[in-house]
Amino acid sequence: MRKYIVTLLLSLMGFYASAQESDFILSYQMSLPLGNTSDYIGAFSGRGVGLEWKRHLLTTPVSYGFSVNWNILYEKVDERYHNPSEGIVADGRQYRYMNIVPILLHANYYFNKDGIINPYVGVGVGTYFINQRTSFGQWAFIDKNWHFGVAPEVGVVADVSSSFNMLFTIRYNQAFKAGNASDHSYLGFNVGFVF
Amino acid sequence: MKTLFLKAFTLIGLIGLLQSCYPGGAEYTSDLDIAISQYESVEDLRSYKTYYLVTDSMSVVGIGTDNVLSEAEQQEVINYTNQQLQSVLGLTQVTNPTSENDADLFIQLSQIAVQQQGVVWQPPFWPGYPGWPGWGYPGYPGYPWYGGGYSYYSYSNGTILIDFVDVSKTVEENNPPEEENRYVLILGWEGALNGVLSRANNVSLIKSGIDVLFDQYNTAKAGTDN
Repeated sequence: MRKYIVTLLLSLMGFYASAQESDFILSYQMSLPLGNTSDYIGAFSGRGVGLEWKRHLLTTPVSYGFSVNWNILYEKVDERYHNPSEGIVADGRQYRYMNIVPILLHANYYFNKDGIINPYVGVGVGTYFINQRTSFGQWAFIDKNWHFGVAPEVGVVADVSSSFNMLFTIRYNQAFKAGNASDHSYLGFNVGFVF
Repeated sequence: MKTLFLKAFTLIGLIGLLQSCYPGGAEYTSDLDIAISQYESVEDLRSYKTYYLVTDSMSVVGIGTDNVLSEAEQQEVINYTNQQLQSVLGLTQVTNPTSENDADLFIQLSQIAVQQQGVVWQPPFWPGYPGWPGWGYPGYPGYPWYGGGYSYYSYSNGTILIDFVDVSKTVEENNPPEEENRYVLILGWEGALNGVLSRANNVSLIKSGIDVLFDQYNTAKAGTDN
């Protein structure tokens, strides 16, 4: 046990020693569905979390990094379903869910790197795993797909404490069409702690 | 620390990919009630003017008679359906069809008393259609609703079905029949009501469900084939 504690402390020391170069971000994420996504689920979502690691270049105000995020969209719908091409009409309460897992590589450019308020622009590129589920009666229609996607974002890093910074970003998530699955998009509002 | 965050990355990814999160959901059994109907062609729906309704009783699909409507309840549902066929759908009843005075539709109500899945659906009881003896053993193989691979089209305990058999297409399809005493019924429209078992035998719920199904029929009829 002691060995693990010592290892953890050494790791933490190593982390703080290199903190000027690398950041770890834990963010709370909210989502506003857009486009096709909004047609399926229109409700604003306050369910989301993200982890991001990024490394700053020493000579230029640029960072690169990697993130895993999890956004959950949900809406209860009572509208009639009518699909003339299939010849189906259905009534009943639908519970619509989207579990979206964006896994992205990031590059950011900072405008005021050493300032207290540091605005930046960035872009993420990667994959969006989307699990779309419609519960209807005692059945569920489930569609799981991997989409290629991009995520441009604007944000601000605020130096609020000696031990951590705060991060506020607006990220436009665009997951492109995958097979028979339509494209999806939503606007992410993220609030994060930068360690 | 790096390892710790890598583990955290992995954890959040795995939870998202494998577990997923489904907030909300059904709170009451009524939230699970659904009415669903399927049709072949809007033009066919518009062409139907007359019907013959099986009024003796409802067909019961299942083993035993537990959890099914009583005879009196069945008659109440059948009578209500008969009224609504005329008042809501504007169809005319033919009580004694003949080759010269045929009905456009042969209508039968059924109740599923066991879980039904897959392609096989053979009611043990079928009263037959006057003038066409032999329609006592339908297999329904000609209708895509019963095609395989669509598990969400399976019917569970408590489902009420209303079948609109297209008489002229069925006669044409079975002339001659593929096998002796085995007839293929061609459905022009079918409606299904499904809820959890505890709500399956509530006549007033079935009546309001029939209203919804017939409203769906009119919605389909007002639309176009795509």
